[in-house]
Amino acid sequence: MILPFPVYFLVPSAFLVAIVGFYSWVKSKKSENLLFFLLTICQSIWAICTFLMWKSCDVDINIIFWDKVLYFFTPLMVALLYHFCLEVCQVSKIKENKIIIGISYALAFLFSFLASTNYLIDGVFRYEWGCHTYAQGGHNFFLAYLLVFVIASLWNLYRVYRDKKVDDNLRKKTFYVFIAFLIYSFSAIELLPAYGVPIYPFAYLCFPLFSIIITYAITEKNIFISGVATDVLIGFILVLFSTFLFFPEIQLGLFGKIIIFILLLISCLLLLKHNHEDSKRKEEAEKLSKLKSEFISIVSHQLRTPLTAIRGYAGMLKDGDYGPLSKKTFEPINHVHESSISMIKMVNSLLSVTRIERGKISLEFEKFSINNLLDECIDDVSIKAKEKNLNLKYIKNKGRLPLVNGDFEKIKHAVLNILNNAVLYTSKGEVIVKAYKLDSFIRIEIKDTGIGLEKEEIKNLFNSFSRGKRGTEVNTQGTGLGLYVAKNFIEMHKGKISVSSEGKDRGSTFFIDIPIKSSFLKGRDFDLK
Amino acid sequence: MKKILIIEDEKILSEMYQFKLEKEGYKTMSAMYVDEAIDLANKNNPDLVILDILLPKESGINYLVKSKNFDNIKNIPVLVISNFDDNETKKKCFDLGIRDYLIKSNYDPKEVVSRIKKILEV
Repeated sequence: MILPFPVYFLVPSAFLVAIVGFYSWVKSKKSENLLFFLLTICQSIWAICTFLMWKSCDVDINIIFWDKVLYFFTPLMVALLYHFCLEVCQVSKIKENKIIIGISYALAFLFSFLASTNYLIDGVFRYEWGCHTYAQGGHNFFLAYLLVFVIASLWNLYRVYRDKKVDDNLRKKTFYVFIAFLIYSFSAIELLPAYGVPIYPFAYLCFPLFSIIITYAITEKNIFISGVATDVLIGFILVLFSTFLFFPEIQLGLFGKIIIFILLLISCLLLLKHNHEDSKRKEEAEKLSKLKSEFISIVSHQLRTPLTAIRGYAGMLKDGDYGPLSKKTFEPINHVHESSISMIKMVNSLLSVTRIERGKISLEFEKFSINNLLDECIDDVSIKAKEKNLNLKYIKNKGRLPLVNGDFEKIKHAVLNILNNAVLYTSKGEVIVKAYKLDSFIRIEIKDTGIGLEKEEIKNLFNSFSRGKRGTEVNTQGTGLGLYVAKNFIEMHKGKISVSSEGKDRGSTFFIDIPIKSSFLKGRDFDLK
Repeated sequence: MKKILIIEDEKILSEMYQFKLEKEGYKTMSAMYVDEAIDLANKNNPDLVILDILLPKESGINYLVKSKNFDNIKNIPVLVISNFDDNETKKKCFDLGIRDYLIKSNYDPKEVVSRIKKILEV
């Protein structure tokens, strides 16, 4: 049986609307987008049930069944529409509105329940172009409910749109949502056959029109989300083609064919436009990121030169190369020397981060003993630990540890960053380093009795520019880059870095797991990206 | 007395290394440009060369390349001390036979001296 062509358009529009709704929600999980997604689901079910009802026009039971399913979801759609519109207008949190929203849902559930009885619809009305069920006693109440809440929704949108004090983005959003739903609401004309008035189902074209407007607003005007245009347009073209593939009986006529052709043409043009824009944007972003990295590299290099002089001369002054120093002058010069060293370390960290982010770090693999690496690390921090009266100990493993295949300098850098922190953030007690075999890894354990970490702090600890909450109180010199660099260097070796702490002032333990065999990386440089 | 040639364009850094090395009993000379350094090396036959990479006119790498043409200087050990920290450059320098590559800002002059001592001992 060939159906009037507007009925066929319900199916692709249903899919299109569902795709758009789904994308909006997945891309940005705001309550507004969730409501929109649920609304589109109800609309899709409505459209598909309508189509199935028309498809089964020759069997009474089927007509009534599909119409009842349809009537089950329609009240919910109305309540969601009302809630969604208030959310868009940013007034859903007002107490009175909350109550009305609650009422709209309560009524929706009531009508949905009535849809399953014979109180809303029953019996079949057949006419020249199709069929519908007859409205029963409850239908008038349902119609009133529908009209009141749809008009209220549209009125809310219109009011915000006309309000000149509201910001432009919100006005733009309310404008498109208003137009789209205003057009969609005209599909209610299709309720006339329920009262025995036969009409050609032109009003079903309101739904495809709605779907196109809302898709346009979302993809081109970014009203709910941005950056989904390409995906949605491809979805649209796919849905349009599949419709004609699965319903070859559709007879469009010249007018219909022209409309479809124009739709396809516009979608393809938009697709091309977005494609160009995307690649242009990507290029620009890459250029910018490269510029940023180059800028940091140059600045770091330029900074290093004067810092070398400050460090060098201060060091020589301190060592008495320019004559003996009094106790009074020794201290300030020592401060200059130490500060210059910590500034150099910061510059080095900044450079490492830039390189990590540009994927410009390569590893030089060699076989080495973790024992040697840890001895060197302990040597490097022992002076600091002694100054603070900390017990810094490396407890060597009883058995011999297997050699590790990795980049000695990078792993040392990572271990040193953590060991330095352990000493820095521990004011009394001890820092104990251990190394042992754990499955196919060698685990280095660095345990301190320092300031410890709270659960929330651990989450972001390894991000760039992140510092423990109290880290800034104890020591103001950190950059928040050390652990980020350490994590990246260890992960480049396919290793893992983790931390545990029993909480504030109860110390922390860092674990660095380095794979013993990284033979698959052997012999070639391994780029991060 | 061992002689050390410092190829460095930053005057204050060049003077800094010169001062420290002379204090440690070395004889020093300094150059800012590659060609000037090749001339000096040819004339004085230093025992070690300290080389910076970013130099005016041409890169320090050119010193390594050019010195290969002179039999009397091609085997003088070279210690690169530069703030230019780039893996490719480092690799190139090691391929051209340098003894070590130090990032200038990471070392005090006394640490540089101890590296030099180690190289000269071998």
